[in-house]
Amino acid sequence: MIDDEALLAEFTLNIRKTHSERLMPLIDAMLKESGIEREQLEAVAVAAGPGSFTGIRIGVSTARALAQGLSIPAVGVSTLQALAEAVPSPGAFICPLLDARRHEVYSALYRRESLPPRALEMVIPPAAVELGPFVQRLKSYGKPIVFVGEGLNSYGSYISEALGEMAVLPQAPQRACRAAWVALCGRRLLAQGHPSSFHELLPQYLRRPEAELRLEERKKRDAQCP
Amino acid sequence: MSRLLKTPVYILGIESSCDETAAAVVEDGRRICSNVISSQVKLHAAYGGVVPEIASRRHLEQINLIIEQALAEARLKLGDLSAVAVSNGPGLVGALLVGVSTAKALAYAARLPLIAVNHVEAHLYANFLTGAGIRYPLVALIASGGHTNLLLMTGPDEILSLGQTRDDAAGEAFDKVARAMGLGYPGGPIIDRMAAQGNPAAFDFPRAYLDEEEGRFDFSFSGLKSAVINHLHHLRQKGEAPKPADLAASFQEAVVRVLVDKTINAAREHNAACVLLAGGVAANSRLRFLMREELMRALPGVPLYFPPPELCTDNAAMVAAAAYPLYRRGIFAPLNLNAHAGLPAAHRLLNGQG
Ligand SMILES: [Zn+2]
Repeated sequence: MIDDEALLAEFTLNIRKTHSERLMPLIDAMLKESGIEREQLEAVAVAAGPGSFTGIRIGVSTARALAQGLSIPAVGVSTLQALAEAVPSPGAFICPLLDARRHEVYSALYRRESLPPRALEMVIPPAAVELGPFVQRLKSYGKPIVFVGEGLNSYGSYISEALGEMAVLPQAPQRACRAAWVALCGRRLLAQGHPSSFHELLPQYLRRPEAELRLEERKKRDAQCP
Repeated sequence: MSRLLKTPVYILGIESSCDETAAAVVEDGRRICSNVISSQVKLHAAYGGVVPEIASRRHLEQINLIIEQALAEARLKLGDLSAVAVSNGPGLVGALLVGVSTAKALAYAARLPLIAVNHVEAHLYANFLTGAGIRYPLVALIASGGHTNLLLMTGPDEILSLGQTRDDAAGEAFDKVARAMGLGYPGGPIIDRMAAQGNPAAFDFPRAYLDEEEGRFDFSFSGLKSAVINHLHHLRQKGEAPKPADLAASFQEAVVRVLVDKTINAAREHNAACVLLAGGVAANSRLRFLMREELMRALPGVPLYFPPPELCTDNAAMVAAAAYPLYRRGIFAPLNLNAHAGLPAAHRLLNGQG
């Protein structure tokens, strides 16, 4: 939770219990501890993906219904951008990384502008990619790259092996996507005139349902050999 | 709580356990103020069944709009409501989670109590919305694509489970047989229509009565489904064309007979004052006809009730109706409410014991 100047409260739990059981009690506890009534909230921002499909939906459903119930704006923020936002170094290449399973990662590449206001510039747009070829592509930039995101828990050692000194890997506390950055990115999007109705707040899955892809393949095959 | 004194009691129901996104407002557990349903049937037809990930995505896109419509049609604002109710199982867990997360956040934002409803029990309450003369004890058969349950209700606050399917749900068997016959999806209405032209005694398909003491009110339809599919294979191998109408009629008869016999046995054993049907399969014309006829013969004077078609399939009015007795007793759900794919029907007494 942020206001114009400061981070007021941020609760993080990273334990094996479902988001569904944790998220609303956490929001409630945070508001209570901060002494802020829910009716005082002016907007809600949510990490809309990529990430686990179910996890994204729990977050987005919750944000949409909060916005609907409180009649306030709601906005979805890219999980990858919120991760990159945490790295302030001017000129840095920043690569957020999340495990997408099936031998893929959700990733993107950003560059922090050297001069003020030092905004993030997107170099490679977010996508689900195979890690091997993606790392080779990163290598071609020939500059140090700061990695963030919990994909490092599984792939950190692979990356430092493949990129050597080019890879800058932070410690665990700097890897997780933090709600404070989501709030900050959300406020910026709203200030820039991004759609603010909960109806338009949709997940950014970056991957279609598997059944849909299989059906499409089958249709293509059937079309080729009638 | 002063809210408990508010009358009339308007409850917003939310339903997303399978392939219908639904919201409804019900007054005092009996009168439907609005009942909005967005069906995904067409979306899943190409797959021959519900695809969980596709269903979950669609629920999320639809649910807030459906809620908005339900409130608008009821001419109510969130602040006029007494509670928000949601079915939290059984069903597809990813789909349920959309409804549960939405209901929790909405109730929290509007400072309304949250009520968790069992989806299968909610089907039974569809009969409370039709002005039927409900009397206790009653026996209810809930049959759909997702569930087949026999429930006993001894009073307004006590639902007990008598039996359930051990494998396929009744409606699932209809879907799978329809698919094997190349008839399309969903299979229930298609087979119902086709069977009307066929001979139900053309083939003698197996009927599982599970006669052992404990399972006599349980169901099993996978053996029947396999027998029909095997029969189709044999015909094709011999190069013979199956008579689809006879096949559909014989299959349907085998399902319906078992449902009717077990329901009537349960009604007799528990001295039922009335019998209820609910769930998508309750819309089956043969089931309705045979149940009424056999009930009249076996237990004359015991009435049979079933909801109109739009309240047989999944809807949120039944969820709001089922929440009403819980509301009256102040049984509210905590903010850590979760969705449960296998939530058993009647796993607890409604008065909070057990
Ligand atoms: Zn159902």
